[in-house]
Parts: sequence; structure tokens; C-alpha cells
Amino acid sequence: MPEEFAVELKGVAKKFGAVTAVNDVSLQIKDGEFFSLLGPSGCGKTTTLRLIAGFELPTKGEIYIGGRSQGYLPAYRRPVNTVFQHYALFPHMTVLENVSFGLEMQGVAKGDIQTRVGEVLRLVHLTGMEDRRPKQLSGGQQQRVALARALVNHPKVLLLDEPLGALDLKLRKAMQVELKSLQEQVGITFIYVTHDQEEALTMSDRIGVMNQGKLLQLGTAQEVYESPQSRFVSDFIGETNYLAGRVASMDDDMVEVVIEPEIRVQATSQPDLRPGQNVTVAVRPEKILLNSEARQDFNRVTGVVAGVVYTGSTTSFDIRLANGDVITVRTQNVGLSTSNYYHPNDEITISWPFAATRVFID
Amino acid sequence: MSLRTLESVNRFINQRSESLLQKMRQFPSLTAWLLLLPALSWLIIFFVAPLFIVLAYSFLERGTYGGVTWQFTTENFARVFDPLYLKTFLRSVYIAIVTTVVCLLLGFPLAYYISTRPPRRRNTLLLALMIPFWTNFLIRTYAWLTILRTNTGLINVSLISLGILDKPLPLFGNDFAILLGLVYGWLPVMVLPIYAALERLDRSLIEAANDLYAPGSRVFLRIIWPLSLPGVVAGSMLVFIPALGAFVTPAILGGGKSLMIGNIISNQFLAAHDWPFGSALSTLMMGLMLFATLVYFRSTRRGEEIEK
Repeated sequence: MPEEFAVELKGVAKKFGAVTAVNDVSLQIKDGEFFSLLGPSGCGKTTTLRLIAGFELPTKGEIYIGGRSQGYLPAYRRPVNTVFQHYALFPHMTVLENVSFGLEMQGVAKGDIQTRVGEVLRLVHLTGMEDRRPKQLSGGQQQRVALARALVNHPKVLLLDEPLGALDLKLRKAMQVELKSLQEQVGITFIYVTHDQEEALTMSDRIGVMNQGKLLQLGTAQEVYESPQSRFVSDFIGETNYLAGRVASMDDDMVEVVIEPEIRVQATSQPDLRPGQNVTVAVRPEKILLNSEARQDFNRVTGVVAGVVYTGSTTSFDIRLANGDVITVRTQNVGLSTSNYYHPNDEITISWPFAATRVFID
Repeated sequence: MSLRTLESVNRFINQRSESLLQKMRQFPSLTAWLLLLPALSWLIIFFVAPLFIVLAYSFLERGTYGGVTWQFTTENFARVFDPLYLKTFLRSVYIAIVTTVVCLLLGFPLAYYISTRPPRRRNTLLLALMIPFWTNFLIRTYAWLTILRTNTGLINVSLISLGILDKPLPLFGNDFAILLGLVYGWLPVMVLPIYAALERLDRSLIEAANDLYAPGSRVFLRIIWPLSLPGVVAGSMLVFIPALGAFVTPAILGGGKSLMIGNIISNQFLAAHDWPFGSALSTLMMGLMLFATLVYFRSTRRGEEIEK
């Protein structure tokens, strides 16, 4: 018997007229997982969520929730609930009425509704707010009502569409932590749509990175950050330096890329690389060391300090290489700020591990 | 005029206007009143004063050839409750209510349909809705006359000549014809405020209700209807008030047999030369409309509280 997933998408596509919003997406989300769909606006992540919720029907493919194909099932008959981007709280109802709505529609007995609503309001710290209307609540409180209104139904899967997008930075950070611990408490599968990479990295068990309707990469936060499989993923998540080059030689373990005759870097080999291929080499700013002693498994390049930017906890250096390329290096300000040690026009050696070097085929 | 005189005139004007500006800055409420003066005098001369004249006339005795004699009486109001007039009065209320209900039943789905179209289609449809207003109401009512008339009307003539009927349908000179004319005339006024309310309604609320296990009918009853209620009430007011006071439609389509209170009032002034009695009827009708308006304001105030 095949493993049962909380949600499974098989070759799902959605077209709006000539526009393909979701293009052949297949993914499996495990029970109890905190799964994020991450991508820029217009990448199809929200459409994917709406397909699961049943607000849109797929042009192609199948969607399974709890192992059951959803077919043309309307939204009101699917065992999922949604937290909307702008909460979509009913303005003419009180907090209590809003949160009770789903249970009422399912025909749950009055007494049970009372108990469950009371429980969930305690869970999101809204006890005492029952008689307020949405407009009388702060953004953070509205957010909690939206969450309570969905959670009270004990859905198999909770769908969240950028639920923290409308909150200010401080509140957003606090809610991230709260959401994560809430998810662990209730054990419900969360599918979380966001364009904020940091949010996705902080909260998710796994992340699916989307662009132009396609699911580009699927993995844990560490996997998508440390081993991006495409230039888009490495660009979208975190910062990256890029160097254009050509594959010079390779064996089963290592590949050597020539940037300029005198600049050569090595990286872990990939099966689809061929000698002579044009490639882009990528390395993250925080992986690079300044003037450290030579090591066997490190790339070493010399350059000149072109700029120094002090940002409190870190200092960024722009290093100009012999060929004119500029590489950004970020150093932690352990002890004194590193900006005290290096100054513009200083000759400098930068080095980074082979393992932290990614090669993308152009 | 010498240059010097010109200069001194100029200086005088400048000083004057400056002192006026200064005064206006010192007394902002005075400025407000000054700016309101044209509108306010218009309202007093053409609205408030006639209203009080009507109210005053309704307590006076009639003159022989129209007008009034200055003799206080409550006789006019006693006559209003004469069964003959009271019957017409109640019938008018009944016709106005049916007109409002029919307009609502037709207008709500129409408003909903328009509000759910893409923005550009919406404007086209709204324009189509308002185009009839470009033609005079009287002319449009006469157009209905040619369609509905018993023996020479378009419908009956075609049905009889096609052999579908051998006797004309009673389409004219009755309450049906009046209702049709009133619904036709006031339907757009019902649609517009409902459309405005529905257009503002956040689509994600409908999705949220759907997501919370509410099928279409429940979504309508629990979300769409309560949130469009201010528009429904406004539209109903805008239809009910003119329908109650209608006199062109019953005069033309009622065929002189089916009358409404508006016809009786206009008769008192134009034919019977009984201005005080016409005024009393008007006063009573205004009272009724005032009551309806108060109901409206109470319901919108509740709507605004929800908005807050």
C-alpha cells in the first residue's frame, strides 16, 4: 500500500486563459508537516494553495487530501481551512460569531461549539474578546481571530496565504515563533505561502521554491539554502556572488572552472557538467574568509578592497578581482569590527571551501 | 483718470480685501456661513418656505376659486380619514410596497450580476441601465400606453391577429398597468445602491464562508445579504417614496379609473380648487415618508457601526 500523505499533488496545472499560473506541479506533504511554498509574487504559489482549498479547479492533474482525490469537490466540502492574506473576517459578526461560523455550518451541537470556541480562543490568547467586532481589533488580534476561525474546525490541513504579510516587522517576528509552536501543539499539517525567504527558513520543516508556475526545488531549509539547484533558487534565497566561467576539467568528485586564465575555482562535481561548458559559479558572502591561511580544500583568489560597509553585527567588503568582477564578503563582527582591519585599496586574499561553491549551467 | 488716482484706488481695494481676509481668518465660522449662504438661501426659499406654506394651508379654509381664507380649521385632516380617501391612500401604500418588493426581487440579482462582471463590463452594463433616463419619463410612460392599451395596444393586437387570443387581455387601466409602469420607471434606482454595496463587498469573504463549509445558499443568507442590507434599504427608500407619490404613471396607465393618492392631490389643486385639503393630504404623505426615512437612517446607522 502506498504511503498516505496529508496532501499530494500529481502533475497539477492551472491556466487562466493563455496564462499558465501553475505548471505541472507534483509534491507530497507529510502528515503534521510545516510546509512552505516560497517564491516571488506571481510565481503561482497562491494559486497552488487555492487549488488545494478548492477555490480554483485544476486544468490538469489530481489533488489528494488525506489520500482522497478531490476532483471537482467544492471548497465547502474539503477537509481543509484557510487563513487568508487579509484575514477576510466577517465584518458584521463578532469574534465569537466569526469563530463559531464553521462549526455552525457543519451542524455541530450548540454546547460543543461553545466548548471548542472557548478552547481555541484560549489557544490564540483572545479570551475576553468574544464580543468585539473585527474593526475593533488590532492587526495582530485580527490575525489570531482568522487563525482561530480556521483551527476550531480541526482541519486535516491548514492553508495559510501570507498570513503575516500585513503585520509590522516586530509583530511578524513574534507571530512567526508563535505560529510555529502553535503548529507543533495542534499537530495539524500547515501549508504556508510566503514570499519572505527568512520566514520560510525560520518556520518550515520543508520548503518548496516556486517560480513562473514551476516547483523548482523541494527540501529542508538547509538543503535549499546550502545546495540550491538553480541560479534562481540561490538568488531568491539569501545573497550570492556570481562568477561567469567555463568548465576546464572534471572527474567524478571535482570540477574545475576557469573564470580568467589566472582565476580558477573548484567545486563538487555534478553529473550533468561537460568540459567546455559555460557555467556560473556561485558562492555566498558569509562563506568567504579574508586573508586566512591556505587550505587544501579551499579556493583562493586575490583582489583589492573596493568598499567597506559596516552594518552593526556584520561588515560587508566588496573585493575587486583582477578581471574586474566584484565579490561581496560578509564577516561577523566578533570582538572589534572587522572594518578596522581592512581598508579600501588593501591587497587581500579571499578563500572559501570547495563544498560551498555551486556551479550552475548557463 | 490719472495714474495717481488709479494707484490710490488700487491701494484702497487691496487694503479692503486684506482686512476682509483678516476678518475671515479671525472668524472661521463666519467664513463658513458666508460660503454656505447661496446654498442655504436656495434651500430656504425653494424648499423650507414652501413646506411651511403647505403645512399652514392645511390648517386653513378653502377659498372659492382656489387659494385660502385665513380661518383656522382642522376640518381638512378630518376629511383625510374619510373612507373614500383613506381607501385610495392605503391602496397607494399597497402599490408602493408591491412596486418596491418587485423592484427588489428583480434588482438584486441584476445588481449582483453586474457587480461580479469584470470592471469594464460593469461600466457598460451600468450605462445600459441608465440610458432610459435620457428620455423624458412622460414619453416613456406613453410608450407603455401604446404597448398595453386594451384594443389598440401592441400586445393585444398581435396576440389577437395571431389567433392566440380572441378577447384582449386586461393589461391597461388597472393596478397591473400602474405597477408595471412604476417598476419599469424605478428599477434602476433600486439597482444602483445595491450595486454599490455589492461592489464594495470583499470577494474573499465569500471564499472564507465557502472555506468554512457554507454552501452558496448559506453564503448568501449569512454574508452577502446582511452586508448588502444598507444598499437594499437605500434602494427600497428611493423606490418607495416616489412610487407612493406617483401621479403621472397612474394618470396615464391607470386609464383614469385606477387612481393613487398623487392624482387626488393634484386634482385638489388643479381641478377641485381645494388647496387646503390638497395640503392636508400632502402633509400626511410627507409624514409617512418622513417615517420611512427615519427607519432608513436607523438602519444605516447600524450599518455604519458595523463598518467601524
